[in-house]
Amino acid sequence: MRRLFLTFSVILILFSCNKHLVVHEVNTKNISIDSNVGPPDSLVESMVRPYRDSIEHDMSTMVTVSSATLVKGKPESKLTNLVSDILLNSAASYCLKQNLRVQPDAAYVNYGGLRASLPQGEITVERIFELMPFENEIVLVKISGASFILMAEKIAGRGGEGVAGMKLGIRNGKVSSLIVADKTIDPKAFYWLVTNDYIANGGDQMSMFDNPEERINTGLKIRDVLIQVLSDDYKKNGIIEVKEDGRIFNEQ
Amino acid sequence: MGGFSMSNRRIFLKQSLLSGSALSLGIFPNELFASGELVKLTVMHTNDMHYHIDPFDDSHAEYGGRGGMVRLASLVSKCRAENPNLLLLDAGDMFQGTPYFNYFKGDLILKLMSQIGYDAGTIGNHEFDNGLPDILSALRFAKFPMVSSNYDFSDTILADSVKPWHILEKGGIKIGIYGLGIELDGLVGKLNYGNTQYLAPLATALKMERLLKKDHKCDLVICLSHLGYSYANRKISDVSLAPQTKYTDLIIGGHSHTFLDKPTVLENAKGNQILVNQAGWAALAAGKIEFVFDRARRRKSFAATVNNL
Repeated sequence: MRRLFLTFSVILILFSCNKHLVVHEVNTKNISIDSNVGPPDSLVESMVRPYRDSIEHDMSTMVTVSSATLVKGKPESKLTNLVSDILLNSAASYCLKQNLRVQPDAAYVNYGGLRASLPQGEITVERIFELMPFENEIVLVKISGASFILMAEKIAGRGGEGVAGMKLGIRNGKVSSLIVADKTIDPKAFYWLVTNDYIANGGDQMSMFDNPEERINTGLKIRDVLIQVLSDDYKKNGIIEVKEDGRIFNEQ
Repeated sequence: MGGFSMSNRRIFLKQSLLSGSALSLGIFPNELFASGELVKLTVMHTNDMHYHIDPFDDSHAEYGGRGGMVRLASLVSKCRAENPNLLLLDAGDMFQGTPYFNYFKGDLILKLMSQIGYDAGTIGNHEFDNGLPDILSALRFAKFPMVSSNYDFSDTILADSVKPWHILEKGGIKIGIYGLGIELDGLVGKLNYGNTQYLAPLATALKMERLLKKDHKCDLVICLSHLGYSYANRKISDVSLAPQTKYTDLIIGGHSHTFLDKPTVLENAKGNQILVNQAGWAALAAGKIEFVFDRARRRKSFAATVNNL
């Protein structure tokens, strides 16, 4: 049975009332949205229908099949790892195709940007839309190791987020170790980081990207990339099996 | 009209005691409404609809089969039939959340909100998701004003499309509306909000409510806020703003996706009551507040409220 929800009604006296009485009848009853609200408004429904029909076909298209439910979690998770890996790999192949002579070192995906889990079994285009509703695109920024560490401190302070191409140890909400491109981070060196335009523009308090050495706007929408990469991979390799690999870990 | 059930009586008495009034219970005589001495204004509101036109899929763990603007439309029609003096407002974040937005940008939701009969809305942070040009282009379909008082768009393409305040009249009641948005820096990409200037919410609220109440003599002053209900830290919220205001009667909130059973009643800087309400998100709920005005004595008598889930 569908859950029932209470209608609460309260009378409030605004401003001081004198002896004069003004009171209203108050309803309190349990209502379900079906019986209370009734069917959808027919006029609004008829306005929506052509729009709904035009996207329904696209939405139900299958992208891939997952061996497990992919849920985001901290310090790392299957979902954050999957998206971060796809970002890093896609940025690398973009640079190759464009002859940019840029080798991306790592990727960062803001935890809050992943808006839904992916189910076990069939994953449709609609699920990818729910995961990544934003129109964000892949951006590469060349930043100093010092800035990279500032970013890692933010990630550590938040208990972990989506990363690829790095190994980050966290102790008491602080970075305890950080390996990028198989070496301990060098504050004076420069690194190419893959992220999205929201973050590269300073979103989520990531002010360390404000003045990067260089920046590449790929114009690749992350959602389109996810759909493309996952369906190509499914055609080639079948069911996906995402793993946690200790890329972010809590140190005692 | 029937009497109160005991539980209602208790809620009512509690609220009455809070208001410091000695009351006994009675009922509005219908003839007072009929003669026009009392006039009832119904304020309905939504926030953070995030383009949820359809109810959640039945398979959705938390909200299966619930919510959606197609049903909200039915609810509003029903309430409007009960009281034509109905004001329908939205507190922002209409955009972003379902593929409808990705396919049709802001156009469709503003068409639908116009059809449902919204009287005013405000700008939430997600309205900026595709930048100012997409807000402008979607607003072509809005048959109601967008009100934002602390986003100064004067140096942007939205300069003529968003109002700092709005006054309208329902059933002879003059209602003033202003809007407050959340700080954009750090939340919205700079490129997306361009030259929008963010003004301090409190100072803006005090200026707006005085303007609407004192200069324009509004009977009711409503703030459409996308600041969020309340925060553990000192960040400004509806609950921290309300006690500092003087003339605002109702803050309709958003951003924090807060479900409230009933509005929160707070005391403003003049010791009068101010209501703070919010209705979850995704058109899963609608706030409904009824204000009864006594024409003879030119004052509000009470508010009854229902949040339908």
